[in-house]
Amino acid sequence: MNKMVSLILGLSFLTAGLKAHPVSYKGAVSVMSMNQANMSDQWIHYSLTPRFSVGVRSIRLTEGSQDSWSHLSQFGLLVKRWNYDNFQANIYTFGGIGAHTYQDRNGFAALGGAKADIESRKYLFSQTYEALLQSKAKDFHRYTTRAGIAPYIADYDQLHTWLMVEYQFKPGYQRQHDVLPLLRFFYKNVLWEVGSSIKGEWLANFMVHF
Amino acid sequence: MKLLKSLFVTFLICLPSLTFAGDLVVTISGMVCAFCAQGIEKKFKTEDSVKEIKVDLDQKKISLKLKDGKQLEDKRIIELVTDSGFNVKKIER
Ligand SMILES: [Cu+2]
Repeated sequence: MNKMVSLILGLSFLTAGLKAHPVSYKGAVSVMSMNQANMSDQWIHYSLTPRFSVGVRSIRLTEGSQDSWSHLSQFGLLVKRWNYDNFQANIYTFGGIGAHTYQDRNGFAALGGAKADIESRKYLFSQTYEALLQSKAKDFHRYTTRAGIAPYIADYDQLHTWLMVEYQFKPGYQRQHDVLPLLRFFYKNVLWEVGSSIKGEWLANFMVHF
Repeated sequence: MKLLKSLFVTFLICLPSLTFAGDLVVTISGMVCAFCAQGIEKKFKTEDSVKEIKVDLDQKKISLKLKDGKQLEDKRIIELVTDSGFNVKKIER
């Protein structure tokens, strides 16, 4: 019964919208791959407009030696954007529904969340909340805060470098708190990040826009 | 000789920026990230009338060179920039 309520709540998120930087320019295909020891998150999204995108997403959550997998259809919505001379700020929402597998059992999965970010050429700050509700495994909530600074200001066609630190709070999970210093690089339409938790676990993210 | 050579190389490197006199310059707000701005370049490159585009993040401007005899209306420029997720501040011809 509890799971039903959770699912309904999850579905109601959908009416509110979808995920973080999942909306790009009109006609863009965005591929994102975010990988950590205890979680991986893969996205393919297509932006129908600069405000709305649709796609698919796969999430692996590892707790102890157990993996749970969720595969979802997802959409992203840019709720509000502020374009100024020296900075840009955004609010996104996202949501999805799909299936999940845990210990050979199959169930339903739903997710929803929101992201706010602000960036200039030198500084970046973002805050994300997302909930993944799984009918055959425990629910997952994650709060992510990220701050970044660019050590040099790169030109359009140069390699861009960012020093960042991410904090993740996952209540109820073994690794409730994670602090992840990381390096972001991007060149033209390809972005990659490498980092590690302060406990020494790796992190590798990759993103490309077509 | 070595000096001459390096001067020549410098000249060659600078050549594209010296010769790039755009037919029109568009000032764009919100263009702070090269990864996002790449959408603008892509949009304009696929536009039939555009021969060349140069993005300048410092000035928040794009310079466009048009193909001979081709026009690009303000309305279309605004549409392309908006589709990329940004706003047009000024168009100079
Ligand atoms: Cu960006």
